[in-house]
Amino acid sequence: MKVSYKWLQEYVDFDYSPEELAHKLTMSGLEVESVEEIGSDIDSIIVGKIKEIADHGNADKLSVCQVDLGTKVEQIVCGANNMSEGDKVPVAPVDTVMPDGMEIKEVKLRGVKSCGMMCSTDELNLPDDGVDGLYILDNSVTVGNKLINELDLDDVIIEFDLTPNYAHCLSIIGVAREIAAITGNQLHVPEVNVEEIEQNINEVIDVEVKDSDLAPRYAGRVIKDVEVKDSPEWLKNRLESVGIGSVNNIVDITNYILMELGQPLHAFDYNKLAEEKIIVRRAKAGEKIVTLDREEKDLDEEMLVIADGNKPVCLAGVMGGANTEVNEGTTTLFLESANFATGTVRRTSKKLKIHSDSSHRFERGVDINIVEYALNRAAELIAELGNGKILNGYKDVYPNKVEPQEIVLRPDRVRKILGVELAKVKVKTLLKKLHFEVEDQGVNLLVKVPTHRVDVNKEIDLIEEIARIYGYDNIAPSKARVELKQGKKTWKQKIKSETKKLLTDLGLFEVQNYSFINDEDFNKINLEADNNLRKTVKINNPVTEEHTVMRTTLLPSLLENIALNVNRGVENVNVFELNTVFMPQKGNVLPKEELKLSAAVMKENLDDVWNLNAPGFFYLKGIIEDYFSKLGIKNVEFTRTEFSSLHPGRTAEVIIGGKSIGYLGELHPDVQANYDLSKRVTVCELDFSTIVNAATSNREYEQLAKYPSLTRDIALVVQDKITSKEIKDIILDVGSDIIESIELFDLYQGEQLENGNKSLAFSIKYRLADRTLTDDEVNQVQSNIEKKLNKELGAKIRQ
Amino acid sequence: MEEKLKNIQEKATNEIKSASNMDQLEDLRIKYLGKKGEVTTILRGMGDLPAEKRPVIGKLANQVKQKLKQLIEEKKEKFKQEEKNQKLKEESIDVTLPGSAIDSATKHPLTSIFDELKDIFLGLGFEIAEGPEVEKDYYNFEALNFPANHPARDMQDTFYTTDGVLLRTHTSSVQVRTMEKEELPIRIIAPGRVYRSDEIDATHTPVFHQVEGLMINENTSFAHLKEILIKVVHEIFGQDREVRFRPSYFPFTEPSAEVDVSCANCKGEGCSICSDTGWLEILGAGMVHPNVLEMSGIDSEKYSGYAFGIGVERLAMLKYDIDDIRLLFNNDLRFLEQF
Repeated sequence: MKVSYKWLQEYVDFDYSPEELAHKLTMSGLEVESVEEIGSDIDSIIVGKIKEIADHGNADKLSVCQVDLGTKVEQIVCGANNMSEGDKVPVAPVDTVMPDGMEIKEVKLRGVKSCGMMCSTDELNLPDDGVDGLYILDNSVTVGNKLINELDLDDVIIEFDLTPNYAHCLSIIGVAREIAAITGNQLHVPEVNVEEIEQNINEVIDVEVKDSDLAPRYAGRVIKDVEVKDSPEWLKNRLESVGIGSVNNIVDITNYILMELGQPLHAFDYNKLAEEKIIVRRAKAGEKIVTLDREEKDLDEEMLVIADGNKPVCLAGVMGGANTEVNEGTTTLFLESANFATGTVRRTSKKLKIHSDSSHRFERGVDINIVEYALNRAAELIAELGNGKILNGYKDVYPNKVEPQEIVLRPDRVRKILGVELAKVKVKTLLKKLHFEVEDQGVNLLVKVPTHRVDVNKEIDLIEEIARIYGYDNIAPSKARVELKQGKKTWKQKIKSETKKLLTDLGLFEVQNYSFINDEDFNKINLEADNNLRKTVKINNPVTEEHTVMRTTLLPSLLENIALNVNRGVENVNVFELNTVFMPQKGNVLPKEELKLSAAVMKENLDDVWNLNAPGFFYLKGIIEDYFSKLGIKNVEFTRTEFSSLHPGRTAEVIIGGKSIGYLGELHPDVQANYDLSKRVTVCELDFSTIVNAATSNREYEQLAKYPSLTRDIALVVQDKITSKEIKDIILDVGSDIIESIELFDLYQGEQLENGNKSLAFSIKYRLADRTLTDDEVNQVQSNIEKKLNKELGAKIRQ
Repeated sequence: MEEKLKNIQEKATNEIKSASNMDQLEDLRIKYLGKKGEVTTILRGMGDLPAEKRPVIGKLANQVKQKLKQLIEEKKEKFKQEEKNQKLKEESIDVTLPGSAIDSATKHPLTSIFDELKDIFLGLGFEIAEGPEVEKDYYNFEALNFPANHPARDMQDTFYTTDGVLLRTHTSSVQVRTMEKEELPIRIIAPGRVYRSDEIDATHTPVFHQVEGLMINENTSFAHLKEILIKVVHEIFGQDREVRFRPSYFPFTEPSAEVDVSCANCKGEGCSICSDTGWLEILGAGMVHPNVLEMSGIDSEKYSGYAFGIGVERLAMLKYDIDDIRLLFNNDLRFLEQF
């Protein structure tokens, strides 16, 4: 909300500069967004009077004017033709810099000297006066004076970003009241004096409120013989300064009161009201209204409307109807000042998507007891500025008068919550500054809350008021006496941190992606139509089409990361993400949330360890194996599997302790193409909770070997389909009693072997803990291994 | 004979001195001390000397032998040293050549901020609590004193999935879940991911992160809240920064405060980074509203508490001088590798 510094000064005295004021208000809870000086860009414009207008002679469209600037008379050549001798106009003297940056200089126009420029509203960045040509000023302004002083344009506008609890500050007088509380100065409330004619309002209109729960107070006056016309300059400028455009004098007055007092008003064209009736009721199903912004809206029974004898004429507290709009033809007004329930206004405003200055205030709460004052103040201004005649009496349907709320305040509670030793008398003083009436009841205080403080309903609300007026800065920090306790991470939290550390140490960058993807992403990763991962939690109100469902897999995000980096010229991309995926579950409105650990690598110059042209696969596998080993996770297996996103021959299921926890594999070439990637990518996605459960901090020390080991190599040729794991299992099966370790050190597939065969070479280390092994023993085992490999796998042993 | 020995010693000493390499030295050793060396020969010929001369000459000859031996050893040692120095000299390298490429990567900057905050709060005796990201309206709003149909809900643009289910707009929802199940006193932080239906631009993102804190105990006051938050802000930004509290509004705390830290760039004078205010807004806080305590079944007369919420992206942007929030979610490796 915008507030004028000058306007504020009409209601309260203060010595603060605009910046000081902004600071003081910020520190009492009204957050200032900006402080802007207006008028400073036209500071050097002065009022001139045209004394004489003569033809240019050499140019049809130009005239030569002699202009009195107070201290001197200047000759100014001008292209406008809406002025007459004797008019007062804004003049930019020589050397003025105009708001658009243009500098005014002494020039010759078609041979005639011109010293300065007479200006239009447009050239001065002022509200449009609707005139084509010079801005002709009111005759009351003084020649030679600064324009901004004469038009009251030198002001500072403070813009607030008010939180919903500051409903009482959604008006100039509300902010002035805060300043009064800060300074301790008096608030000046304008006096109202309504002059009525003899004719009584009851003769011309009936007001009936059918739903007084939604409209607890409804008041109005009738004003006749009104002249609807332009507002005077001061009113236009004042509204302009707080960001409201001028419409006509009547609408402007209702807006002026809205800004001044925070009470929304509405003026109806009385002659357009059928049956001389105002009925405040719920809309009927099927009813429609065209609002002032010329939009047709469908109404329902939840919405409160103001109706005449046969149709809705206004959405209560939200926006008026076009059918009873005040315009130049209007002569008689019904002026409404009412209070509507916050809930109904909010519902209507949300449902119809209309947000107005009026709905904004009613949603937050307006002082019900200001209705009458606001009505009379507006009526008085209409009589003054629109020559209206105010009918005798006014309607005021207010069945349940709202009295100031009484709250018991325990000074002891204030001290307990704030941690400050505030004496009861100090508490009293602070509350009185805020215009709360306080009655001392001995131990406690009885506080009467003025009805404009719609936000104060409980003792705690009063404590907050005390704290902010006392000043948060004045509350000294103090150490709490609490039980000594050491904060600890849970096991899962520990493993999470550990995982990020280990994987970054192993060369994977951690990424953070949005939790949303869209259905197209599943197609991009070639997910089958019936894959469970396609069952998602959907966002009802997505902001973009790219973000419509919650992730069930991190894979698409990681592939996007690779694509983005490649596009930006980063060739090696090796990333991981540890984040949540969301699976809808039956019988629970909330999805199942699981952590996934996923990685993707696309890296050049990796060692192709097994000469299988699959360096990425074994690089990522190596990282994952090392990561598991660092977490103390043993019994890890990788078995061949298939998954539609991945290369059918290069995909492994990752298994811990017999339980499948996800996959690791090379991207399917089709998926790789879908992301426009020219190089192979290896990815994995693992279930993190199993990793957490399998991880252990237990490490058992094994005696360092005292006796020597014996090493034997074994080289064998088997069919391609035999896995290295099968071979290892057989070796161990035979010799596990004396085998310390087995290592594959060579793999060969190629010309020198029969088609469909491969050769592997293992190095087997034999050792016992309690004595030295003999050659014979080892040779015996080695020979048994060879026999079994031959028998079970058809392996040919190469000597 | 004595004369002869002295001559040998003198001659040998000079020759050893002028030897220029190991080989010459070895030749000298053989010449004088070898089996047929000059000194050895004299010692061998002792039997030919008169008996009374033998001890004197014997002693002298041995002295000469020892002396020469020592000289040769010393000289040898010197040559070895020189040789070693020479070798070291030859092995000298250009130390300004780049080091080997090590394949380690970096944590995401948000993780670093989380880690820092977790460390601080664990040290202050807080536990880390967690809760779901897709959350019931009840935990995200209602139990936090945001009534249905209240304008306070407009403060947080919310993504909904189904009726009454939403993407949590703050990790304050974890507060409620913790209060429901944990025993008092409670001292937790709730770090995590939150969502707001904002369009993406340089300062807005639909996904961001918070660390929410909650302390509930008997006699917990606003003064205690100030104490701990000043400590935390100093820990994060440095002891020389000023901290100010100003009134604000959150439905679930009362009194509520925004906490600002003085701008490091302009030292409070006002600059473009702090929008000319001299202060940077860094977190929101307040005393837990009695309605919130009561809704979670806590006696608000006996217990009171404070809560605070820290924006992790905001902190990262301030700490690392990041001017566009989108950088944190683009995952451009050229950005990530800087942390």
